[in-house]
Amino acid sequence: MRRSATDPTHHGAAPHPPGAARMDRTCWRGLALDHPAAWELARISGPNEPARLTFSDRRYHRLDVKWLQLTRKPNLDGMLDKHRRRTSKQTRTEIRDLPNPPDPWHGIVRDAPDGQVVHVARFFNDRRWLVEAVLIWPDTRDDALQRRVLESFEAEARDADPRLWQAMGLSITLDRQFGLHECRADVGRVTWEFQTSERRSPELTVERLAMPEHWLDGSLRDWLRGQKPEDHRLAREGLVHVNGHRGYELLSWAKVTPIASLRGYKRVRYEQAWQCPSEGRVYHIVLTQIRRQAELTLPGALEVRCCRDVPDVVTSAP
Amino acid sequence: MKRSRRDNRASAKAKTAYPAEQLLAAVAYRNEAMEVHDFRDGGCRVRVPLNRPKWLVPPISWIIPFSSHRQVELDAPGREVLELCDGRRTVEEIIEKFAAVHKLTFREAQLSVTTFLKQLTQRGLVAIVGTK
Repeated sequence: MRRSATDPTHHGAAPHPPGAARMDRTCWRGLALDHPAAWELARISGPNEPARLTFSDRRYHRLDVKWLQLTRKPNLDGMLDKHRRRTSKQTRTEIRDLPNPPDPWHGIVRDAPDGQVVHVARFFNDRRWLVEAVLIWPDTRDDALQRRVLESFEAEARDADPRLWQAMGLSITLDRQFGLHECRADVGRVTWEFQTSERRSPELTVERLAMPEHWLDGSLRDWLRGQKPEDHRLAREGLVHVNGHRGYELLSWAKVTPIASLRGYKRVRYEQAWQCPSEGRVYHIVLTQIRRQAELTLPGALEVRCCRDVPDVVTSAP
Repeated sequence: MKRSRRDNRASAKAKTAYPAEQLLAAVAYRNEAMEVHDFRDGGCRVRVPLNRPKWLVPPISWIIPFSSHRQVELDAPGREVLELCDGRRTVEEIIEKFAAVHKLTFREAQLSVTTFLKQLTQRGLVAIVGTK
């Protein structure tokens, strides 16, 4: 059953106890974790880079997560010991074992001039993933928060389909055959591009755009028409309802190479856009494919969620 | 070893690079001498008087033209940020206010506002005063 796309609790972080920091959930390249909402993504790894996420609050990097696939189970204690010896030599500080790390994490803690630095590692047997995380505590270490963050780490099942991608305010579910091709995060504009490995595969782009009150001069329909490349001919346009919001769809096509054109192929482009008033963002989905039929529909499992809570930025960071 | 001019510049840059904490705590002051002309779309044109350089005297001034004012055009969000630079708010408060108005996260607003404040500072519209 498809879950309601506007249900604010699904795909969210675990409910937090009263007085505790509001948590957010990030799912990237198969790894999911909860983190305080005030720790925002400062760095995210693209498709051809080693998997990595870095979260920062207003002043400091707070959490750095790296993961990679191994062929066999590593000796975590040995790894941490090696790291402990090397760091101890470089920084000339005492490095202790992390007291009571949540199972199966192994960790060490180092005193820094203005706080503590915690290095932890664990191995996900099912995915053969080694996950390393560094938590930086500028003032005092919050054991409860650290435990909540580390306990929340989950690796998606190897054959999970559809797959969840959730980061930087954008949350989508998509067929597993679509792999991340490009990821861009400009100010107020998050763009993810997906492709399958097949020949003449469809290309899917999902965008989330901020501050539409400034760049959206006319109607959303006019803006969507303006997004159509000049060489594309309009095939049809109409209204759609997405997550309870009124949006617009547009189908267009363009000629491809002369030989492919003779064989009846054309570049078909289908796009949708809607504005989520509670978030104040415009969502834009574009699907393009070289094919014979002049019709194109979005992948069945694609679900783009909106209506997420707008963060209260005046709340001070934990 | 003799330091190159580039090394000196890099060293000076490193010395003047403030940590995020100090930048967020700094206060932004608007240039009181500037003139603001409103646009209908919420933007504005700002004119800032310039000091005539001491070396710009005849006959050099006959060759190099000197403009008495610098003009900068701002869109509506740019004007909002300029108005928030009132000499009381810190950079952090300006970012918070901008983020709340435009439903942005703190980091989204921080990147755009600090970059914009840097440009305003380079053009002489705003001064950022930090505390020790």
